[in-house]
Amino acid sequence: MGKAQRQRQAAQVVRAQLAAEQRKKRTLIAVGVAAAVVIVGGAIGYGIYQGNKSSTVNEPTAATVNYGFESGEGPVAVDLYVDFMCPSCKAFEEQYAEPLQQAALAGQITLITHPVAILNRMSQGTDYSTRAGAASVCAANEGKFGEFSTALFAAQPAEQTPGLSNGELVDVGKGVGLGDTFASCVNAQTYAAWVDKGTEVASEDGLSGTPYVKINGEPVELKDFGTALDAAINAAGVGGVDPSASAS
Amino acid sequence: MVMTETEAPTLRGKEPAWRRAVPWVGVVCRLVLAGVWIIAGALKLPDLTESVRAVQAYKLLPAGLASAVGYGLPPLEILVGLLLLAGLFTRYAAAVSGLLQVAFIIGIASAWARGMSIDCGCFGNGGELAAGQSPNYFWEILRDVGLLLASAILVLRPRTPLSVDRWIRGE
Repeated sequence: MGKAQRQRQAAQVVRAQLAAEQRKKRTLIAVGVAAAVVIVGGAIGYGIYQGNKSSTVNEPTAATVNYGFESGEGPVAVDLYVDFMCPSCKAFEEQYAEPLQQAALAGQITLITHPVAILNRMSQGTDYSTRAGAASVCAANEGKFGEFSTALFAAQPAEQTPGLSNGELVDVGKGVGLGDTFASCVNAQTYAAWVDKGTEVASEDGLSGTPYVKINGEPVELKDFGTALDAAINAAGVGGVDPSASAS
Repeated sequence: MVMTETEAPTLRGKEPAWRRAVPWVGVVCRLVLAGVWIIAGALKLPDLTESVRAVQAYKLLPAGLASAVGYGLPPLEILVGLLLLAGLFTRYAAAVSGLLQVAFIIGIASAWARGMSIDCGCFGNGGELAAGQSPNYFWEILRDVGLLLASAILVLRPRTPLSVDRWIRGE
């Protein structure tokens, strides 16, 4: 190997080392910048997320069970999750609200209705699902959850519209005998955060669409609901006094 | 050194146009994927509980895991999108992108096979469909296969122009 060749090789090695060092340095810079972006972005994102989540969750004065309202004291527990914007919730309400109320009155079931808000994106930014749910809590505080909920479904807005304004929600309440306390509760949206919190809890608990029904804690397909309910009532040994037969 | 005479013309300049365009295919893949990931992630970010519900709607994962995926997916999507946009760690970002597409294809295909009627949740919808909407599983899968292909191209050929990776290597 000649001297010149050796020198050329040595120079090549040095160049390669320099290049490797530069790569290392630049990799570190890139990683550093990327990490900074992630951390700053994450902090900002988290801040926005926390800001969006309304801060204080006010507990309703009405008794609640797992972010729902109870009616009846029967042995069969029926959990019903509804979004007031959801058309199939309205259909479910029209089909089953009466028989369920009767079964609750007859001491066959305990109906627990959970107002949830999963369709806020359907109301052009007015968060109708949350507002309607919060209004239903105001009604529950005055013992009129059932009546208000029925009236609210009857007045259900179409999806992809802003929905009822708070004032219109108050009017629906007036229709079932709710007054000024209710009005200020609706206008202040006192329970919006409570509804959102309940929705979060329900989501983590398996809610993925509404209406979502559980009988004695077990999720039930909507098409099987009628038969599953009858079976549960019979299994509980309270089927004798069946006033719901007329409605089925 | 007679050989250079025949080799020299094939260096720069005289390459056919399509050959010079090849690296830019990678740039297009990067930008398309980056756009899709950043938009998909950003749409889900404001309502993470909706994202959790979308994952749960597939009924593939146990509740705890579904929550973790629902919360974690949007930030991950944005991260992958930003890396692809910058062209930093392109091969690894593209690999994660491809794996996510595979997972989505499996999820959608299984929802289709089970006859479920859900929205793919791809762009920040909460999983359930509005009344009267029918799922479009075929097009969703086709789109994801296309994006998977773009990811695969970048895993195989991660060196693209206009990338931080290229700056790092000093090219």
